[in-house]
Amino acid sequence: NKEKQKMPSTILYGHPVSQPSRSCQWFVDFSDQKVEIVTIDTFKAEHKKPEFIEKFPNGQFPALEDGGFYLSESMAILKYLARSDPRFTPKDSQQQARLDEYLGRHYSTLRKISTDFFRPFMLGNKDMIEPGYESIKTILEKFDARLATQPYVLGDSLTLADFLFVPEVDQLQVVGEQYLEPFKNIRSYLGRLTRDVDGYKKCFDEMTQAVGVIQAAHRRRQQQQQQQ
Amino acid sequence: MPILHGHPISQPCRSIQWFIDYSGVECEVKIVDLMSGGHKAPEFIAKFPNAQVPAFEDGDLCFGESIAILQYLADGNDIVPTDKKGKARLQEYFGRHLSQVRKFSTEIIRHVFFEKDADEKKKKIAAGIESTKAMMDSFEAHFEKNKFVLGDTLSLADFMFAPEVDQLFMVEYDFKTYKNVGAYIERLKEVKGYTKMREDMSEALKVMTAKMAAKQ
Repeated sequence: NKEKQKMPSTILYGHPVSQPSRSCQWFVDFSDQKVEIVTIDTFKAEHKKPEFIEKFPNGQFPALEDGGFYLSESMAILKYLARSDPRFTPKDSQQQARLDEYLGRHYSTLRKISTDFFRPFMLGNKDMIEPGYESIKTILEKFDARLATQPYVLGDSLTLADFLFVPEVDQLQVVGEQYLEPFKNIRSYLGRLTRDVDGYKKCFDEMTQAVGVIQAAHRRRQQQQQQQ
Repeated sequence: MPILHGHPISQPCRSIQWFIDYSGVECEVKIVDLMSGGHKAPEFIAKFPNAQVPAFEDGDLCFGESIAILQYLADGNDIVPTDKKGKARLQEYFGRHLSQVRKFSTEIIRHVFFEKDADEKKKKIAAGIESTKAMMDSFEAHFEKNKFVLGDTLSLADFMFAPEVDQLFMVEYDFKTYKNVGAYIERLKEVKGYTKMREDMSEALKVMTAKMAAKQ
């Protein structure tokens, strides 16, 4: 009798507020893959502890463990998770180039929404929010214009680019409805995804819930400091 | 024939030019006169709305971003991994490159060209060297046991990585302390096209420095 081998487990480590984590977790839910989701306790700096660093030397999340294979970087994790999915396999070198072009630009453009706008909001740096918003308007306008003429970031179909793009832009409304208001095509795009794309509503709701928890903890800490 | 629009002063352009020379892939290279705003000219923007180099065209297909161009040109070359883990490791490096390794350029080298005040330049370069130290330390440790960025074999990761670190001679970077990274750069001289890439860059730097001095 052949001993039944234990299926190597696939685990995604991330956090519901971390945009690249959200991209990967949403993809797991969307594609209905058997991946365990583990939320990093950032308050306890779990990602800086030896057990995590041993597997993921950069101490960053999202991070994927697949059997004994350890992978970081959202772009790599998404491609790895999507590797056998024909829906996400570019059909020619042109489509592949468009996807890689988006992936390349994402870091220098869309990521600024998080670093320059959303992060100050989360840290309570109120005076950085407006200047941050000013600095991201151009990129938002570009994508808003793009989504006026096509349903998804790269054209007619959902691609991995949408999975990276969305968690950057949907944060705007969490900071305040007025920030997303001017971008009607992005708004209707998000509405369509909420309605039509598996896993997205859950991805957004978990984020807003986690933001609430973090902000409540900040408020408690501030109150304690004021009382001292 | 496809065309790469670029300039040897730009690290991602060098990555691609080096790959073209290494692989012998058919691709014409056109130098964009960045100092005269060639990348902002209407004809350029019409094809490449982001007004950046490197920019690439193959027939009607026009796109930018070095990792996209490099992978497009490398399609079919033996250097491209075919197994799932090899592919993942390469993509992982690209992600790290875009979010971290690029800082050698954006936090150190950019000040060489864009900071006019000599004291400010010194300060900013020092600050950039400090902020990228942990990353350099990790690569130093990596090259203790590995010949190349992804292990024992040259990969596309090296084409992206090398132009970011080898340019640090411009700021008299302490390669004595980082002897493993230094040894890695030396090792690359055995790779086809690498020395030419370095020479093209030195030449371009000389020209740019002279032009900048003439402007003052």
